[in-house]
Amino acid sequence: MRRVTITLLSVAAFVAVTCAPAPPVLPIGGDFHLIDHDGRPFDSSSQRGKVVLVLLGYTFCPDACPTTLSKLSAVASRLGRDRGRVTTLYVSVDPGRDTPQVMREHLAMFGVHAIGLTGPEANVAAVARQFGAHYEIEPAESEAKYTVAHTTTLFALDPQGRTRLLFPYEASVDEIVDGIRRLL
Amino acid sequence: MCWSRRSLAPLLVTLTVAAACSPAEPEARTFGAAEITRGKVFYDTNGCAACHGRDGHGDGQIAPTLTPLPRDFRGADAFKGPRTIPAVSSIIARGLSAVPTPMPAFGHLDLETRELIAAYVLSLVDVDGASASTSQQRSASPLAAEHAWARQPAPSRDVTAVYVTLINTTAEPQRIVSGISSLARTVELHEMAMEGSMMRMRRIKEIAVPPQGRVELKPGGLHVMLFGLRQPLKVGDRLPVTLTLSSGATVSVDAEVRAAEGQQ
Repeated sequence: MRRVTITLLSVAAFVAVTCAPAPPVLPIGGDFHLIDHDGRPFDSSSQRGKVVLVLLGYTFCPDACPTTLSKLSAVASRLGRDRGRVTTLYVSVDPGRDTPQVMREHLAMFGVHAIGLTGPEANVAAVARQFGAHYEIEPAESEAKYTVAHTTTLFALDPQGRTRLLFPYEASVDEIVDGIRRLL
Repeated sequence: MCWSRRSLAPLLVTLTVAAACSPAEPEARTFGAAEITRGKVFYDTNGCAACHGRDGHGDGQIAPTLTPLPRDFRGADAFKGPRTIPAVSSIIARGLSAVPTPMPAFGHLDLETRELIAAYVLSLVDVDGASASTSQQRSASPLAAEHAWARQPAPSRDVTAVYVTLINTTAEPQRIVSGISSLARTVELHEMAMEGSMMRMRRIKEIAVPPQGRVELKPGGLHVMLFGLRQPLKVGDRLPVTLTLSSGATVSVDAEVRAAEGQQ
Protein backbone atom coordinates (compact mmCIF):
# COMPACT_ATOMS: atom_id res chain seq x y z
CA MET A 1 0.00 0.00 0.00
CA ARG A 2 2.77 2.34 1.01
CA ARG A 3 4.68 1.44 -2.13
CA VAL A 4 1.65 2.21 -4.28
CA THR A 5 1.34 5.56 -2.53
CA ILE A 6 4.95 6.44 -3.11
CA THR A 7 4.73 5.41 -6.75
CA LEU A 8 1.73 7.65 -7.29
CA LEU A 9 3.44 10.50 -5.48
CA SER A 10 6.52 9.95 -7.62
CA VAL A 11 4.54 10.24 -10.80
CA ALA A 12 2.65 13.31 -9.56
CA ALA A 13 5.79 15.04 -8.34
CA PHE A 14 7.75 14.15 -11.43
CA VAL A 15 5.07 15.57 -13.67
CA ALA A 16 5.10 18.63 -11.43
CA VAL A 17 8.82 19.18 -12.09
CA THR A 18 8.34 19.35 -15.79
CA CYS A 19 5.18 21.49 -15.88
CA ALA A 20 4.31 23.53 -12.80
CA PRO A 21 6.47 26.35 -11.45
CA ALA A 22 5.96 25.57 -7.74
CA PRO A 23 6.10 21.90 -6.75
CA PRO A 24 3.44 21.01 -4.17
CA VAL A 25 4.28 20.30 -0.53
CA LEU A 26 4.02 16.54 -0.09
CA PRO A 27 2.56 14.96 3.05
CA ILE A 28 5.72 12.98 3.89
CA GLY A 29 8.98 13.65 5.66
CA GLY A 30 9.61 15.85 8.68
CA ASP A 31 12.61 16.31 10.93
CA PHE A 32 14.61 13.39 12.30
CA HIS A 33 17.61 12.55 14.44
CA LEU A 34 20.41 10.14 13.52
CA ILE A 35 24.21 9.82 13.88
CA ASP A 36 26.43 11.42 11.22
CA HIS A 37 29.53 9.93 9.57
CA ASP A 38 31.75 11.57 12.19
CA GLY A 39 29.82 9.80 14.93
CA ARG A 40 28.06 12.99 16.10
CA PRO A 41 24.32 13.38 16.68
CA PHE A 42 22.58 14.85 13.64
CA ASP A 43 19.35 16.85 13.62
CA SER A 44 17.86 17.39 10.17
CA SER A 45 16.46 20.79 11.23
CA SER A 46 20.09 22.03 11.21
CA GLN A 47 19.85 22.16 7.41
CA ARG A 48 17.17 24.87 7.20
CA GLY A 49 17.93 27.33 4.42
CA LYS A 50 19.28 24.64 2.14
CA VAL A 51 17.68 22.32 -0.33
CA VAL A 52 18.09 18.84 1.16
CA LEU A 53 18.24 15.60 -0.82
CA VAL A 54 17.48 12.45 1.15
CA LEU A 55 18.22 8.96 -0.09
CA LEU A 56 18.34 5.52 1.44
CA GLY A 57 21.15 3.11 0.68
CA TYR A 58 23.89 0.94 2.08
CA THR A 59 27.56 0.91 1.32
CA PHE A 60 27.97 -2.86 1.00
CA CYS A 61 25.93 -2.75 -2.18
CA PRO A 62 28.48 -2.26 -4.96
CA ASP A 63 25.95 -1.66 -7.69
CA ALA A 64 22.78 0.40 -7.28
CA CYS A 65 23.84 2.84 -4.58
CA PRO A 66 27.10 3.81 -6.31
CA THR A 67 25.04 4.49 -9.43
CA THR A 68 22.93 6.99 -7.53
CA LEU A 69 25.96 8.51 -5.76
CA SER A 70 27.75 8.90 -9.09
CA LYS A 71 24.71 10.69 -10.43
CA LEU A 72 24.64 13.00 -7.41
CA SER A 73 28.31 13.73 -7.92
CA ALA A 74 27.46 14.89 -11.46
CA VAL A 75 24.51 16.92 -10.12
CA ALA A 76 26.86 18.72 -7.72
CA SER A 77 29.23 19.73 -10.52
CA ARG A 78 26.32 20.94 -12.65
CA LEU A 79 25.04 23.11 -9.79
CA GLY A 80 28.27 25.10 -9.75
CA ARG A 81 28.14 27.88 -7.18
CA ASP A 82 24.73 26.76 -5.95
CA ARG A 83 26.12 23.47 -4.67
CA GLY A 84 26.81 25.10 -1.31
CA ARG A 85 23.07 25.62 -0.92
CA VAL A 86 22.30 21.92 -1.31
CA THR A 87 22.91 19.14 1.24
CA THR A 88 22.66 15.44 0.52
CA LEU A 89 21.71 13.11 3.35
CA TYR A 90 22.58 9.48 2.72
CA VAL A 91 20.67 7.38 5.27
CA SER A 92 22.06 3.87 5.68
CA VAL A 93 19.48 1.10 5.84
CA ASP A 94 22.25 -1.28 6.95
CA PRO A 95 23.29 0.15 10.33
CA GLY A 96 24.73 -3.27 11.24
CA ARG A 97 27.56 -2.91 8.69
CA ASP A 98 27.59 0.82 8.07
CA THR A 99 29.49 2.37 10.95
CA PRO A 100 30.17 6.13 10.76
CA GLN A 101 33.73 5.39 9.61
CA VAL A 102 32.59 3.11 6.79
CA MET A 103 30.11 5.76 5.68
CA ARG A 104 32.78 8.45 5.74
CA GLU A 105 35.22 6.46 3.58
CA HIS A 106 32.51 5.46 1.17
CA LEU A 107 31.28 9.00 0.58
CA ALA A 108 34.82 10.38 0.29
CA MET A 109 35.41 7.94 -2.56
CA PHE A 110 32.54 9.32 -4.56
CA GLY A 111 33.49 12.92 -3.96
CA VAL A 112 29.89 13.60 -2.97
CA HIS A 113 29.46 16.27 -0.31
CA ALA A 114 26.90 14.14 1.45
CA ILE A 115 26.34 13.58 5.13
CA GLY A 116 26.30 9.87 5.82
CA LEU A 117 23.72 9.00 8.46
CA THR A 118 23.32 5.87 10.47
CA GLY A 119 21.97 5.02 13.90
CA PRO A 120 20.07 2.43 15.88
CA GLU A 121 17.91 0.27 13.66
CA ALA A 122 14.73 1.65 15.25
CA ASN A 123 15.67 5.25 14.39
CA VAL A 124 16.52 4.35 10.80
CA ALA A 125 13.22 2.50 10.48
CA ALA A 126 11.40 5.56 11.82
CA VAL A 127 13.01 7.84 9.21
CA ALA A 128 12.05 5.44 6.42
CA ARG A 129 8.46 5.37 7.71
CA GLN A 130 8.32 9.18 7.83
CA PHE A 131 9.18 9.32 4.13
CA GLY A 132 6.88 6.46 3.17
CA ALA A 133 10.00 4.55 2.15
CA HIS A 134 10.58 0.90 2.71
CA TYR A 135 13.46 -1.49 3.23
CA GLU A 136 13.79 -5.18 3.95
CA ILE A 137 16.83 -7.05 5.22
CA GLU A 138 16.89 -10.28 3.24
CA PRO A 139 19.08 -13.28 4.10
CA ALA A 140 21.00 -14.30 0.97
CA GLU A 141 22.67 -17.53 -0.09
CA SER A 142 25.70 -15.51 -0.93
CA GLU A 143 28.90 -14.27 0.65
CA ALA A 144 27.00 -11.05 1.20
CA LYS A 145 25.13 -13.00 3.96
CA TYR A 146 22.24 -10.61 3.58
CA THR A 147 21.16 -7.89 1.22
CA VAL A 148 18.88 -4.95 1.84
CA ALA A 149 16.12 -4.23 -0.62
CA HIS A 150 15.20 -0.57 -0.35
CA THR A 151 13.33 2.31 -1.89
CA THR A 152 15.54 4.11 -4.40
CA THR A 153 13.49 7.30 -4.61
CA LEU A 154 15.44 10.52 -4.02
CA PHE A 155 13.50 12.95 -1.82
CA ALA A 156 14.03 16.70 -2.28
CA LEU A 157 13.19 19.04 0.61
CA ASP A 158 12.86 22.80 0.25
CA PRO A 159 14.81 25.26 2.45
CA GLN A 160 11.95 25.09 5.01
CA GLY A 161 12.41 21.32 5.36
CA ARG A 162 9.22 20.40 3.52
CA THR A 163 9.28 17.49 1.08
CA ARG A 164 8.56 18.89 -2.38
CA LEU A 165 9.91 16.55 -5.05
CA LEU A 166 10.53 12.85 -5.51
CA PHE A 167 12.95 11.66 -8.15
CA PRO A 168 12.70 8.08 -9.35
CA TYR A 169 15.83 5.92 -9.69
CA GLU A 170 15.86 6.55 -13.44
CA ALA A 171 15.81 10.36 -13.14
CA SER A 172 18.57 12.00 -15.16
CA VAL A 173 21.17 14.46 -13.89
CA ASP A 174 19.38 17.22 -15.83
CA GLU A 175 16.04 16.43 -14.26
CA ILE A 176 17.50 16.46 -10.76
CA VAL A 177 19.39 19.73 -11.37
CA ASP A 178 16.22 21.37 -12.78
CA GLY A 179 14.20 20.20 -9.78
CA ILE A 180 16.75 21.52 -7.28
CA ARG A 181 16.85 24.93 -9.02
CA ARG A 182 13.08 25.20 -8.64
CA LEU A 183 13.45 24.82 -4.88
CA LEU A 184 16.41 27.15 -4.37
CA MET B 1 42.31 -42.42 -5.39
CA CYS B 2 43.65 -39.03 -6.25
CA TRP B 3 46.69 -39.59 -4.07
CA SER B 4 47.60 -42.88 -5.68
CA ARG B 5 47.57 -41.25 -9.08
CA ARG B 6 49.87 -38.49 -7.89
CA SER B 7 52.27 -40.96 -6.32
CA LEU B 8 52.77 -42.55 -9.73
CA ALA B 9 53.96 -39.29 -11.21
CA PRO B 10 57.50 -39.16 -9.77
CA LEU B 11 58.13 -42.66 -11.05
CA LEU B 12 56.88 -41.68 -14.47
CA VAL B 13 59.20 -38.66 -14.54
CA THR B 14 62.15 -40.81 -13.57
CA LEU B 15 61.44 -43.21 -16.39
CA THR B 16 60.97 -40.45 -18.93
CA VAL B 17 64.24 -38.81 -18.00
CA ALA B 18 66.10 -42.08 -18.27
CA ALA B 19 64.68 -42.67 -21.72
CA ALA B 20 65.46 -39.19 -22.94
CA CYS B 21 69.06 -38.97 -21.84
CA SER B 22 71.45 -39.53 -24.65
CA PRO B 23 74.44 -41.87 -24.19
CA ALA B 24 76.72 -38.84 -24.51
CA GLU B 25 75.48 -37.42 -21.23
CA PRO B 26 77.94 -38.05 -18.41
CA GLU B 27 75.32 -39.23 -15.96
CA ALA B 28 71.58 -39.81 -16.10
CA ARG B 29 70.11 -37.85 -13.24
CA THR B 30 67.11 -39.24 -11.52
CA PHE B 31 64.32 -37.03 -10.33
CA GLY B 32 62.29 -38.32 -7.45
CA ALA B 33 59.94 -36.82 -4.89
CA ALA B 34 62.68 -34.74 -3.24
CA GLU B 35 63.66 -33.10 -6.57
CA ILE B 36 60.03 -32.46 -7.43
CA THR B 37 59.57 -30.73 -4.07
CA ARG B 38 62.65 -28.59 -4.73
CA GLY B 39 61.37 -27.89 -8.22
CA LYS B 40 58.11 -26.63 -6.74
CA VAL B 41 60.09 -24.17 -4.59
CA PHE B 42 61.90 -22.81 -7.67
CA TYR B 43 58.58 -22.73 -9.54
CA ASP B 44 57.17 -20.54 -6.79
CA THR B 45 60.18 -18.26 -6.37
CA ASN B 46 60.78 -17.55 -10.07
CA GLY B 47 57.32 -16.26 -10.90
CA CYS B 48 56.01 -19.27 -12.83
CA ALA B 49 52.77 -19.19 -10.83
CA ALA B 50 51.87 -15.69 -12.05
CA CYS B 51 50.75 -17.26 -15.34
CA HIS B 52 50.67 -21.01 -14.78
CA GLY B 53 48.90 -20.83 -11.43
CA ARG B 54 49.93 -21.92 -7.97
CA ASP B 55 49.40 -25.58 -8.82
CA GLY B 56 50.16 -25.42 -12.55
CA HIS B 57 46.51 -25.41 -13.55
CA GLY B 58 47.00 -22.50 -15.96
CA ASP B 59 45.00 -20.18 -13.70
CA GLY B 60 47.65 -17.71 -12.52
CA GLN B 61 46.89 -14.14 -11.58
CA ILE B 62 47.56 -12.73 -15.04
CA ALA B 63 46.52 -15.84 -16.97
CA PRO B 64 43.20 -14.37 -18.16
CA THR B 65 45.08 -11.55 -19.90
CA LEU B 66 47.16 -13.92 -22.02
CA THR B 67 46.51 -15.34 -25.47
CA PRO B 68 46.61 -18.23 -25.71
CA LEU B 69 45.86 -19.05 -22.09
CA PRO B 70 48.67 -20.78 -20.19
CA ARG B 71 48.39 -24.56 -20.36
CA ASP B 72 46.93 -26.62 -17.59
CA PHE B 73 49.89 -28.92 -16.96
CA ARG B 74 47.54 -31.73 -15.96
CA GLY B 75 46.31 -32.03 -19.54
CA ALA B 76 47.76 -34.74 -21.74
CA ASP B 77 47.94 -32.21 -24.58
CA ALA B 78 49.57 -29.51 -22.47
CA PHE B 79 53.03 -30.20 -23.88
CA LYS B 80 53.60 -29.55 -27.55
CA GLY B 81 57.06 -31.06 -27.44
CA PRO B 82 58.36 -34.21 -25.77
CA ARG B 83 57.34 -34.68 -22.16
CA THR B 84 60.91 -34.95 -20.97
CA ILE B 85 62.98 -32.96 -18.52
CA PRO B 86 65.58 -31.83 -21.12
CA ALA B 87 62.81 -30.71 -23.52
CA VAL B 88 60.88 -28.80 -20.87
CA SER B 89 64.07 -27.36 -19.37
CA SER B 90 65.01 -26.12 -22.82
CA ILE B 91 61.61 -24.44 -23.28
CA ILE B 92 62.07 -22.72 -19.91
CA ALA B 93 65.45 -21.43 -21.12
CA ARG B 94 64.33 -20.25 -24.56
CA GLY B 95 60.66 -19.43 -24.09
CA LEU B 96 57.99 -20.13 -26.68
CA SER B 97 57.78 -16.77 -28.38
CA ALA B 98 58.38 -18.31 -31.81
CA VAL B 99 55.18 -20.41 -31.59
CA PRO B 100 53.96 -17.71 -30.68
CA THR B 101 52.86 -17.73 -27.06
CA PRO B 102 53.60 -15.25 -24.24
CA MET B 103 55.94 -17.78 -22.55
CA PRO B 104 59.10 -15.76 -21.93
CA ALA B 105 62.65 -17.11 -21.83
CA PHE B 106 64.11 -17.86 -18.41
CA GLY B 107 67.65 -18.28 -19.68
CA HIS B 108 69.01 -16.63 -16.56
CA LEU B 109 68.14 -19.74 -14.53
CA ASP B 110 70.90 -22.30 -14.32
CA LEU B 111 70.45 -25.77 -15.78
CA GLU B 112 69.81 -27.48 -12.47
CA THR B 113 67.10 -25.01 -11.47
CA ARG B 114 65.41 -25.40 -14.84
CA GLU B 115 65.52 -29.17 -14.64
CA LEU B 116 64.03 -29.19 -11.16
CA ILE B 117 61.22 -26.90 -12.30
CA ALA B 118 60.70 -29.19 -15.31
CA ALA B 119 60.53 -32.20 -13.00
CA TYR B 120 57.86 -30.48 -10.90
CA VAL B 121 55.85 -29.44 -13.95
CA LEU B 122 55.99 -32.92 -15.48
CA SER B 123 54.90 -34.46 -12.17
CA LEU B 124 51.59 -32.64 -12.57
CA VAL B 125 50.59 -34.50 -15.73
CA ASP B 126 47.43 -36.41 -15.07
CA VAL B 127 48.24 -39.90 -16.34
CA ASP B 128 44.56 -40.64 -16.94
CA GLY B 129 44.37 -37.58 -19.20
CA ALA B 130 41.16 -36.70 -17.41
CA SER B 131 41.62 -32.97 -17.83
CA ALA B 132 42.69 -33.10 -21.48
CA SER B 133 39.25 -32.15 -22.73
CA THR B 134 39.14 -29.14 -20.39
CA SER B 135 42.30 -27.73 -21.80
CA GLN B 136 40.98 -28.15 -25.33
CA GLN B 137 37.80 -26.23 -24.52
CA ARG B 138 39.84 -23.42 -23.06
CA SER B 139 41.46 -22.69 -26.38
CA ALA B 140 38.33 -21.51 -28.17
CA SER B 141 35.68 -19.96 -25.97
CA PRO B 142 32.18 -19.77 -27.44
CA LEU B 143 31.83 -16.37 -25.76
CA ALA B 144 33.81 -13.22 -26.34
CA ALA B 145 34.15 -10.58 -23.61
CA GLU B 146 34.30 -6.85 -24.36
CA HIS B 147 34.42 -3.57 -22.44
CA ALA B 148 35.09 -5.21 -19.09
CA TRP B 149 35.48 -2.92 -16.10
CA ALA B 150 35.24 -3.08 -12.35
CA ARG B 151 34.27 -0.46 -9.86
CA GLN B 152 37.05 0.63 -7.55
CA PRO B 153 36.08 -0.67 -4.10
CA ALA B 154 35.93 1.58 -1.04
CA PRO B 155 39.03 1.33 1.18
CA SER B 156 37.23 -0.60 3.90
CA ARG B 157 35.47 -2.96 1.49
CA ASP B 158 36.81 -6.12 -0.13
CA VAL B 159 33.83 -6.36 -2.47
CA THR B 160 33.32 -5.08 -5.99
CA ALA B 161 31.23 -5.58 -9.11
CA VAL B 162 32.50 -6.42 -12.61
CA TYR B 163 30.64 -5.38 -15.75
CA VAL B 164 31.25 -6.81 -19.22
CA THR B 165 29.55 -7.32 -22.56
CA LEU B 166 29.40 -11.02 -23.49
CA ILE B 167 29.03 -11.97 -27.14
CA ASN B 168 27.93 -15.43 -28.17
CA THR B 169 29.64 -16.35 -31.43
CA THR B 170 27.96 -19.74 -31.72
CA ALA B 171 24.56 -20.93 -32.89
CA GLU B 172 23.81 -22.41 -29.45
CA PRO B 173 22.64 -20.62 -26.31
CA GLN B 174 25.50 -20.32 -23.79
CA ARG B 175 24.94 -20.27 -20.06
CA ILE B 176 27.45 -18.86 -17.57
CA VAL B 177 27.16 -20.75 -14.32
CA SER B 178 30.13 -19.72 -12.19
CA GLY B 179 33.34 -17.74 -12.01
CA ILE B 180 36.74 -17.59 -10.36
CA SER B 181 39.32 -14.89 -9.90
CA SER B 182 42.85 -15.16 -8.61
CA LEU B 183 42.28 -11.84 -6.83
CA ALA B 184 39.05 -12.73 -5.01
CA ARG B 185 37.91 -15.41 -2.61
CA THR B 186 34.49 -15.86 -4.22
CA VAL B 187 32.84 -14.88 -7.48
CA GLU B 188 29.05 -14.80 -7.73
CA LEU B 189 26.53 -13.85 -10.41
CA HIS B 190 24.10 -11.18 -9.25
CA GLU B 191 21.18 -9.25 -10.54
CA MET B 192 19.59 -5.97 -9.53
CA ALA B 193 15.90 -5.84 -10.05
CA MET B 194 13.51 -2.94 -9.58
CA GLU B 195 10.13 -3.74 -8.09
CA GLY B 196 8.22 -0.50 -8.22
CA SER B 197 10.58 1.94 -6.55
CA MET B 198 12.32 -0.83 -4.57
CA MET B 199 15.72 -2.10 -5.65
CA ARG B 200 16.46 -5.68 -4.81
CA MET B 201 19.74 -7.50 -5.28
CA ARG B 202 19.84 -11.25 -5.61
CA ARG B 203 22.25 -13.97 -6.46
CA ILE B 204 21.35 -15.82 -9.65
CA LYS B 205 22.35 -19.29 -10.84
CA GLU B 206 23.19 -18.44 -14.41
CA ILE B 207 23.43 -15.76 -17.07
CA ALA B 208 22.23 -16.92 -20.47
CA VAL B 209 23.59 -15.45 -23.71
CA PRO B 210 21.37 -16.19 -26.74
CA PRO B 211 22.79 -17.71 -29.97
CA GLN B 212 24.64 -15.06 -32.02
CA GLY B 213 23.46 -12.59 -29.38
CA ARG B 214 24.94 -10.50 -26.61
CA VAL B 215 24.25 -9.68 -22.98
CA GLU B 216 25.46 -6.50 -21.37
CA LEU B 217 26.35 -6.65 -17.68
CA LYS B 218 25.98 -3.08 -16.40
CA PRO B 219 25.25 -1.02 -13.29
CA GLY B 220 21.73 -1.50 -12.03
CA GLY B 221 21.35 -4.85 -13.82
CA LEU B 222 23.33 -8.05 -14.18
CA HIS B 223 26.80 -8.06 -12.71
CA VAL B 224 29.56 -10.34 -11.51
CA MET B 225 30.21 -9.80 -7.81
CA LEU B 226 33.60 -10.44 -6.24
CA PHE B 227 33.98 -11.04 -2.51
CA GLY B 228 37.16 -11.22 -0.46
CA LEU B 229 39.44 -9.16 -2.73
CA ARG B 230 43.01 -10.17 -1.94
CA GLN B 231 44.56 -6.75 -2.45
CA PRO B 232 43.50 -3.11 -2.67
CA LEU B 233 42.65 -2.06 -6.23
CA LYS B 234 43.71 1.24 -7.78
CA VAL B 235 42.22 2.89 -10.82
CA GLY B 236 43.86 1.37 -13.90
CA ASP B 237 44.61 -2.00 -12.24
CA ARG B 238 43.50 -5.14 -14.06
CA LEU B 239 41.13 -7.56 -12.39
CA PRO B 240 41.07 -10.99 -14.06
CA VAL B 241 37.94 -13.14 -13.85
CA THR B 242 37.36 -16.48 -15.53
CA LEU B 243 33.71 -17.31 -16.14
CA THR B 244 32.70 -20.94 -16.60
CA LEU B 245 29.89 -22.05 -18.90
CA SER B 246 27.54 -24.98 -18.35
CA SER B 247 29.49 -26.83 -21.07
CA GLY B 248 32.70 -26.52 -19.02
CA ALA B 249 34.19 -24.02 -21.46
CA THR B 250 35.51 -20.78 -20.00
CA VAL B 251 35.71 -17.14 -20.99
CA SER B 252 38.42 -14.86 -19.69
CA VAL B 253 37.43 -11.39 -18.59
CA ASP B 254 40.11 -8.78 -17.95
CA ALA B 255 38.38 -5.93 -16.15
CA GLU B 256 39.92 -2.49 -15.88
CA VAL B 257 39.42 -0.88 -12.48
CA ARG B 258 37.71 2.49 -12.86
CA ALA B 259 37.03 5.33 -10.46
CA ALA B 260 33.84 5.19 -8.47
CA GLU B 261 32.19 7.96 -10.47
CA GLY B 262 33.65 6.79 -13.76
CA GLN B 263 30.87 4.58 -14.97
CA GLN B 264 29.49 5.17 -18.45
